[in-house]
Amino acid sequence: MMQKTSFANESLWVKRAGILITLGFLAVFIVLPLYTIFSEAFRSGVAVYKKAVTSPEVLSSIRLTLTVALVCVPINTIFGTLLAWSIAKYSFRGKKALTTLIELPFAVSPVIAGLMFVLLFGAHGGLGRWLQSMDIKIVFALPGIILATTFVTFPFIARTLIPLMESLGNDDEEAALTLGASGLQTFFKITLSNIKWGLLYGIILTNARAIGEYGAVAVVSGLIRGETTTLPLTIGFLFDEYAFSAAFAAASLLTLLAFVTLILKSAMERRLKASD
Amino acid sequence: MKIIKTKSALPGFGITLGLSLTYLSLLLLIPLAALTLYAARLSWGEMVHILTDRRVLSAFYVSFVSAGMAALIAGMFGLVIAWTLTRYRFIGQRIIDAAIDLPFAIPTAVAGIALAVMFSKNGVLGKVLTPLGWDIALSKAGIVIALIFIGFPFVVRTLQPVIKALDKEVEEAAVSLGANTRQRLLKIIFPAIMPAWLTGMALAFARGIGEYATIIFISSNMPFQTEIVPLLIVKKLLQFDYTGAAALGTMMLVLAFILLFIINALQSWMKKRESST
Amino acid sequence: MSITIENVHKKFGSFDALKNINLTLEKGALTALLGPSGSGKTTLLRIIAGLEEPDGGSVHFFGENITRQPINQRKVGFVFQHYALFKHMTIFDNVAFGLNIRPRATRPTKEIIKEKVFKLLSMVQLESMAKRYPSELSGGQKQRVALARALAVEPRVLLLDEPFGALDAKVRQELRRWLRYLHDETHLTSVFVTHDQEEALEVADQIVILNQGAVEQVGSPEEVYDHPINPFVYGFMGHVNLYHGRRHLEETRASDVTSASNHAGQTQLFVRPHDIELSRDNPSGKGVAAQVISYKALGNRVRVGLNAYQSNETIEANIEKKSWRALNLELNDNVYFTILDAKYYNDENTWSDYVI
Repeated sequence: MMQKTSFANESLWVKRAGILITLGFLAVFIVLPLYTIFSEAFRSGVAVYKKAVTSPEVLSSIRLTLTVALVCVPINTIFGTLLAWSIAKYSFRGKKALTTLIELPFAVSPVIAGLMFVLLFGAHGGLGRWLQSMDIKIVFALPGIILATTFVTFPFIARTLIPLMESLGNDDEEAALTLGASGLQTFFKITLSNIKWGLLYGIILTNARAIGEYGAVAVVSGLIRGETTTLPLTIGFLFDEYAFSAAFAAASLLTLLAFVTLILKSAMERRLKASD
Repeated sequence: MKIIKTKSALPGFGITLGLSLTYLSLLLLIPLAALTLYAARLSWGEMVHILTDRRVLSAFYVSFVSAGMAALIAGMFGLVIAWTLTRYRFIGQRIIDAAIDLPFAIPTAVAGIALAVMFSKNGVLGKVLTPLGWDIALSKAGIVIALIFIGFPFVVRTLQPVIKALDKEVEEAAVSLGANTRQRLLKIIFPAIMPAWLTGMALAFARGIGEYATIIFISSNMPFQTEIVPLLIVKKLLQFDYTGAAALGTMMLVLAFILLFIINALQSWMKKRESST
Repeated sequence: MSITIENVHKKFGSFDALKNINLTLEKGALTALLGPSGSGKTTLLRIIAGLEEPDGGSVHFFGENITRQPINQRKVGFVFQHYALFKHMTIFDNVAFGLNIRPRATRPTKEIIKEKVFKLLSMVQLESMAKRYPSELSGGQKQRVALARALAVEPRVLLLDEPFGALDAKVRQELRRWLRYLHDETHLTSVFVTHDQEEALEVADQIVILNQGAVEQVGSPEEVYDHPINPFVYGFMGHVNLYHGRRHLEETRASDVTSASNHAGQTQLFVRPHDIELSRDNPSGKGVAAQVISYKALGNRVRVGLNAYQSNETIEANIEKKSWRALNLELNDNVYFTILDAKYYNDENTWSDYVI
């Protein structure tokens, strides 16, 4: 009885300390950075903010960023789903190695990701010279940015879907097949609705990273200001030339996107838990 | 019989795996090969020469030490946060729990400039800390701060499910058997969450070694002082020193593989712990 | 003969799941694949369905070799242990699925589908649930929907994988009777997998007993129960007492149980608990003296634990409560038991350990 009470007392003390440390830490690392972004963005008034976010430079980089996301998110959605299906639904040799390989883009530095594409397609190599002679630009151009972004965002879909598909098992698919469904019918009518929340979850994360990627894109774009500057790169350039208000105004747009991402993400998480 | 059931009945194995492998080869393996083949052109002596350059060594030192320190600090705070969010109920908990993922969701460049301004002389925190003699922005401490920001969600998110799965009855049983708080922590709780904790810190460390955008804005990026490896690679590329960049890149790639291997081993240790409880 | 299985074998890694199975299942019969877990019964069912491919051998439906035919063309109705209902579809859509996905040319009209689905739903007594979702149904209801769904495509054979395994005892009992009734109505060639011998005895026309990937015995419920071919089948079909006894050519006498344990010709006797009679005295002289060491009433029968004095072997008897009351026995009382029926198997090769 004595011990039980001391257990409870100690818990209360630990609880208070825990909550205090949690709130303190998150105040410094979450609240203050957010406060800084918005206070800097509006430091010189709403008019300056408006002007900054509608400047031709920001607008064109938004356009570029959205183009990149629009190409790379669907590609990764399709291939990530295919990969998850082939890993979760069948057993074969080398499956474990393949599963580890998927994680690679998360394990290497985004700078290395960019570097790989520069070395592969850059003008100093054989492939690069050939591409140049054909007048195809990959590095320091849109295709390079898309490739690098696709690389760094590749794992999100597959790593969300694989455990989900494995936990769901194959019964539903087998049932559909015994009822005469074809492989494609089985996927679109059965599998897809079973994994839809997981898939959306993966798409949201892919999209957030695709829009926000800096390191890999910085390397493949050669940090050349102008045609190949995505929104995060533009923010960097503005910041480096001490145009703080403009930089933070643009940054506030991406922060709002991050909020949307977080809200959708936790909504998806609740859906996923509920469907368990 | 049901455990070892193969999953061969579903059609489409050949085509889905074929397409997946083609995609993986184009997107992952060929670029990977491009990097390693580029570096393979170097002789052993040249490779050693590049990697033992003093500036390179100091960049590796800065990267390692700051990522290591950040992982440890993120580990400490991450443990407390994960424990508090899983074990206790309080107002605003759901929002706080969702906010943990902000570093995952917010673009790194945005976080980088926000932290840089925050800790600068005129920033919200810098205003308080600079008079105390704590110059965080532009110093090594700034790099660590940026990496804590990037790393702590890994620790929290890895620990949360494990803490949730901790059997409270086992703890109560230990207490009823006469264990005091220290014994309960050391003998019951700590061994159970250890693998997940290490995994979380390893993930934070791996991410920290490669991080670029969050750091470059808060750090002064001075060679021999606050220059990290990814930044050095970018600088080499901007000077068209592709060979040097490839050598450093390969080194980082090897490091990434080693870390991936360690994290995999930690995760399977974690799974074993889970299934044995 | 509607389903013929020839030389089918299957390995999972180095584990022999099925070793050369040869089997013929009668047209219109309800067959039970019965065996302990790991016996290969589910694997065999999945091979018949096409959900698993055999390493060798062939499967024929009505004379047609369908071994290489993909599942979705086999026209088998398959009912899963955990129902495998499509969560995102209503009960109606679940049952209609197999018809709705047909190519336009062979797809029935909406009206015909509707009529058919409701006919099936009324057969499984779930018409009122058509608009509900699977999550709103009980386990027994779900299993009935799964059955209706499988029947909707008018399968050539109906396969059920432990159909009642996930249900509680009472629902199980009801569904068993109902499955039997349904089969009597449709006469669809059906195969179901079970590890419960009572279920197989109650429901099936034909029982196939599998053990360690091989067929032990095939026969009607009476045959396999009354004439188990080997010790494994004997043990699997019901509770069993093993004692040492002596075999005479004409008959096995209970008195030998106690007297012969050290003699040559000693053998192991298999006796079912309900084939033992108890009495306070021993008028026929065939009884064996024993002591009551435990008893437990189970419904209208009583399970009595006995210890034979001479051989010091423990025996279990299962008698009617009425006779137990008449005997008026207490713990440690003396009693005589008589064995009404016993079996022996002396071929070492057919011996198989079975732990109940």
